[in-house]
Amino acid sequence: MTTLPALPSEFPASTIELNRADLRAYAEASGDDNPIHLEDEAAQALGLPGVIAHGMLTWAQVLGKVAEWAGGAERIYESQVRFAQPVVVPADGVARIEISGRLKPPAEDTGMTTLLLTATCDGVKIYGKARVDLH
Amino acid sequence: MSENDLIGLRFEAEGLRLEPEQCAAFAAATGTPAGQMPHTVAATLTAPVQQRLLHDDRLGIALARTMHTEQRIRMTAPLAVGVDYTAVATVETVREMAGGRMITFVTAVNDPAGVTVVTLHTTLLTAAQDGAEAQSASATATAAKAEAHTQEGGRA
Repeated sequence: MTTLPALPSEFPASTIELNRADLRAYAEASGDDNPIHLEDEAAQALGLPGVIAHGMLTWAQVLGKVAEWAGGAERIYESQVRFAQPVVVPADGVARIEISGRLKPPAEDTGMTTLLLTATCDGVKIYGKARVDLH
Repeated sequence: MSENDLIGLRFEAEGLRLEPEQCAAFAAATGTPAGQMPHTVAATLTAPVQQRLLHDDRLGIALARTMHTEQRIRMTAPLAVGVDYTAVATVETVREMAGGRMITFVTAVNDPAGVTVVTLHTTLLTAAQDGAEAQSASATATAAKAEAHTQEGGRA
């Protein structure tokens, strides 16, 4: 087995911005056309203030940052996330998600590195458990 | 059908294939560095089998009243463009709760040799049918209860 280069010792904080065009692009690319991500009326019928981002869109964006940091998406072995709070995306603006992460030392048995992630929108944590295990 | 009858329901799809344009569109939509296969692309690859599950009357999932509450993806081998994969989704747990039903299913993506390359655990929360109950228990309130429940160590 080839030895992979060491991961950087810190995961830098970053920000993601999503607007409604991003949600439509993701709906098209992923095939997830749940109307609560596209129409205010559908979201409001569920008791939400308006259109919310797909959980898998925010998470994929976070994993994109992880891939960039790790030097390749293929270094991600496993990801796990609980979507705790919805991210409301305004009709004429952006939802801003602040991301930070904390690394745990590589596991002795598997050699995998665990990255624990935190993401907030308007100061509210949008994920419960959010972790990535990397080769 | 009772909850127990739903556990073990299986949905299959074959001939699942990632095309280069599809991967590029998905990478662009998710902010994945150019030329890389996004980690979550398996969610798109398995969309046909998920659609079967989502539209099965026995499970009673109404998309417009459904929120994604948890996702786990394990890659045991990388996915490649132009390979015919098969996927099997199996209902693992069903839990009735105030205001809705929480369903967890496991999807295995297998390569042409039958080896599982990706395993996805998906949990959805579907709010109860229209009516007084659904209105009083909004999806977010129900999701918050589910979150509290799992934090207490309950089975998600």
